[in-house]
Amino acid sequence: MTGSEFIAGIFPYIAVALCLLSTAWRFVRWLSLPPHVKWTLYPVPEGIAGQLKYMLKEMFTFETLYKFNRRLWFGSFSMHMAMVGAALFFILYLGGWSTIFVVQLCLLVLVIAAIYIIGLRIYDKNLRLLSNFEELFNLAFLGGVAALGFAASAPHVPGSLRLYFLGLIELHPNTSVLSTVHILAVFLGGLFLIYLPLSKMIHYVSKYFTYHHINWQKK
Amino acid sequence: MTKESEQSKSTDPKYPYRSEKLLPREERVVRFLETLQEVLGAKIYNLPLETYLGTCAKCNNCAEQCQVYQASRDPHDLPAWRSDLLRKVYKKYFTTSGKLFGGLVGAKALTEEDIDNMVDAFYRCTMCRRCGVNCPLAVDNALITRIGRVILERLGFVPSNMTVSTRAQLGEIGNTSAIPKAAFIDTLDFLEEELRDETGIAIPIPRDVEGAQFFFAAPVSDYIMEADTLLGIAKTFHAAGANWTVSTENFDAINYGLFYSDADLEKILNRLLEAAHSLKCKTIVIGECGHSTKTALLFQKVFGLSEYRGMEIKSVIEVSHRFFAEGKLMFDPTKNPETVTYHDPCNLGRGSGIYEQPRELLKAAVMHFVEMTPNRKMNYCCGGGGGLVVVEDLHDWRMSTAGLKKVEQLRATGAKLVCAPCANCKKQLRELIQAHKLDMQLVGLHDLLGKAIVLSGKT
Repeated sequence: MTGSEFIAGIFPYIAVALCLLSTAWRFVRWLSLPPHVKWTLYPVPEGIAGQLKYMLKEMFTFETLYKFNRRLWFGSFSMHMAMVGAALFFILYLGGWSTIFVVQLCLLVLVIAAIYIIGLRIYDKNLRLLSNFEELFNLAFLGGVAALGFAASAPHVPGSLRLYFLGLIELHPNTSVLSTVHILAVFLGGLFLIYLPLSKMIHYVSKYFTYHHINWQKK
Repeated sequence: MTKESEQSKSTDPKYPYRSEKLLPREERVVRFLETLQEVLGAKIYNLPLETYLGTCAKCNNCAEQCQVYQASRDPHDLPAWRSDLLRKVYKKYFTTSGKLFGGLVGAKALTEEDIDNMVDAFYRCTMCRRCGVNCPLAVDNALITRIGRVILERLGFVPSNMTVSTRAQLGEIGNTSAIPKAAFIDTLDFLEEELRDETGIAIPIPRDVEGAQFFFAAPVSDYIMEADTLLGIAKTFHAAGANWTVSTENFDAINYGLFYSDADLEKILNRLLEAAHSLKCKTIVIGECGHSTKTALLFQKVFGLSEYRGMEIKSVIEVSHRFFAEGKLMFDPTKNPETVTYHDPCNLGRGSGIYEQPRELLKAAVMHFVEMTPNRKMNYCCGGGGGLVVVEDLHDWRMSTAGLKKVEQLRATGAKLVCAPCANCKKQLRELIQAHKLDMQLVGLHDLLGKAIVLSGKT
């Protein structure tokens, strides 16, 4: 097995498995911590419906940032929505319900948003004071993955990304249809998946705990 | 050498108002890390600390929530920066990534200078929790401040006003103002006389009544400073026909442990719970005091002895509101013709969820009520929260910086009275009104209720 065959044929499964396992490990760890001091922050949204409404609104509008930190909101909201959009439309593309163009558009937005936030973190004196290497690295890593994904999905790049991913889902990845840029994109994407739950970007899980288990503890 | 002079000798001149029996500089780092490890091992903070310290995105949304930063515009008052002082240390010594990658992931080895910075920063935070309301990741910097202060106390950094008061409370006298029992009983007698003179009715302030439904404990400072509040509370209990009592042994609800020490918090809390338990009372009613209410509510199940954990804890505001909702209280609002605004004490609002009850009571008991803007969960701290109001050396800073947003808010209401049902807020707001020459007065909630309450056909 060549290095390319390993990266395209085996590594994606390892990356996905590690990502899921690490996420699950952190979720279970936080869930299994002993009862902590009641640190409710009032008001608590009424009932499960109220809490869901609050969370969904926050997740899909980034309302708190919108209200108080509009400059960062432009970048952060775009970046997160582009991330969700890229994943969603790529799945639709694989199913034949969308074109790769929409995925590319999302990836482009993702790249621009990451660059914008890096710029803001360097330009704004308070954000600069608060930011360390990790914040900038995370943004650069995400932007890099998106940029390589964008390049790999360009129409002029030979090979078929769609055929490859369909094969990957069916557990028979055809690595021969990939070009070098495809291989690089798969490799960097895999590394990002492994890194994601180990980094502070795990906030997609921690948020559940900080809201539901801490802020919204019942009386 | 007297105790007082010994104490001043041990005070480091670099930290005039925040040191007592200070640990030698070279021993601080080790003690700090030992205490942090102890706190992490204590379990009750694990989840909040791990999530708060591990995942803050440094979006700086908290900056625009913090009244201290908004007034000072000093980057060292950014809540995220302040919390990062502890976060860096936590990462360096307690996370794998921090141990492996150090500064690359924001970890930093602790130095004595870092401790100096923490002393300064954690005592410039009023622990109001406003920053937590609009944090996209629900990180609560106030808890990080509290943990920071708990650790610093073990190094000897703690405002002496707090520890002196706590020593008096935990000593033989049993209260933070060192009022002897006989003097306290005299005060109760005096209050009863006042009630009789004012209303023509004999309204008792029951003492040490075994089996009373409500065990009442106010911040002891109310017995010195806030007679009108206590008179109003006595009238309310009387009008509702409630079976209540105060303890002449343990009558002080103040718990400064909330601001710097779990150990002291636990002892003070259990003294209060024990007093109610010994009188076989099922419900503890805390007077107009935000931090006392929150402390009892939050920590009863964690630090309260097992035999005390079934007790119900209520703010006197909730109890009065319940009486009102049950039709037991009637008010004549013409007795309070001035325009009144309401200040949400942080520990009652964001900390205990008491937002609407005082408003409903006020609207029934005063002629003109105006809201302060912003209010409820977005209200600004008075500027003396987190126990800072008792630190006299911080007076000028509280007036010029921490309380500045509150002054703007108060001025904008045009109200003649600001109602604040919290002992600490009352002190800070009075000082702000005086320092900024505002044309208004400070009152407690039950001061107004007491004036308007209809008692047996009389008002």
